[in-house]
Amino acid sequence: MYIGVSESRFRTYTEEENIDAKAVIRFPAIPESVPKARRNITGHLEELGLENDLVDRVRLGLTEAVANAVAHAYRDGEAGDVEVLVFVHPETLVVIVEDTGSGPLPHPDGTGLGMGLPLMSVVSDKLEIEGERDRGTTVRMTFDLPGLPGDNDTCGDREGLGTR
Amino acid sequence: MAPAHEPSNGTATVVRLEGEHDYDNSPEFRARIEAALDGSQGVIVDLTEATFVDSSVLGILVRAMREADRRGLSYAIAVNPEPADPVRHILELSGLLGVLPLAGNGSGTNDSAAPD
Repeated sequence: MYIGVSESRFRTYTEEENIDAKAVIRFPAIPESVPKARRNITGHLEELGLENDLVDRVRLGLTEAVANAVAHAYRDGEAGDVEVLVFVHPETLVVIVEDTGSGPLPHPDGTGLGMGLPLMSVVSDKLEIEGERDRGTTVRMTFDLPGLPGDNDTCGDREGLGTR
Repeated sequence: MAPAHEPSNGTATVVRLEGEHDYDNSPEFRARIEAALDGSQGVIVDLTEATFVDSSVLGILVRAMREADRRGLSYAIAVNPEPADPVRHILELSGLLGVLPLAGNGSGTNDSAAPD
């Protein structure tokens, strides 16, 4: 579900952030939201004309962050939501995945190999995780942009939209 | 649900993934690979038609490798050789490209034919 930055449940965004926001989407924290979030954000990334390498990394990092929220954020209570926000600043692309669940805690019963966090760290140029017990978790991944295509037509050497 | 019969490649069962696989649908993949490990002398996981995998799929691939090793079964992963292939890229990013036995690259597994 699309929402405006001003409607984000979790924080107030600055005016500058409002301008740079490319996508603010809220999903229920259920497994089906993992591919939905990825496909939705992929559409936005393709519109931006990003390099395939970067698109691959954003898709993987986003998927890991949303899957983490779905798997861990609300397991002790009612299902909640996950918000995905994408900001494109002049030199960075920032992906934020937030929930209002149980906070960042170790998951000793994890069924994976604990690869989610390392992958988020590897794919992004900066990974920040914040949160408090029962106040939710915010994952912020920052990706350096080598330079987005400008408004003019002279920037035609970047090609290869999409990953399929 | 796991298909009743995966295609068999000689003595190895080929488990082929197409499209995108992640936390949402990886339980199906886990069931397929477990059935393949139970029912054959080896498993080849064909990822050449897959377009995305996440850590849940990578975890299944690694666990299956260990399980095949424990049972003395052959095990190999077929990956698109294109450097730009998104799944190859994800395996590279995860560091698993050098860990998982790749089909057809002389990695020592006894798979007889790797999809190419």
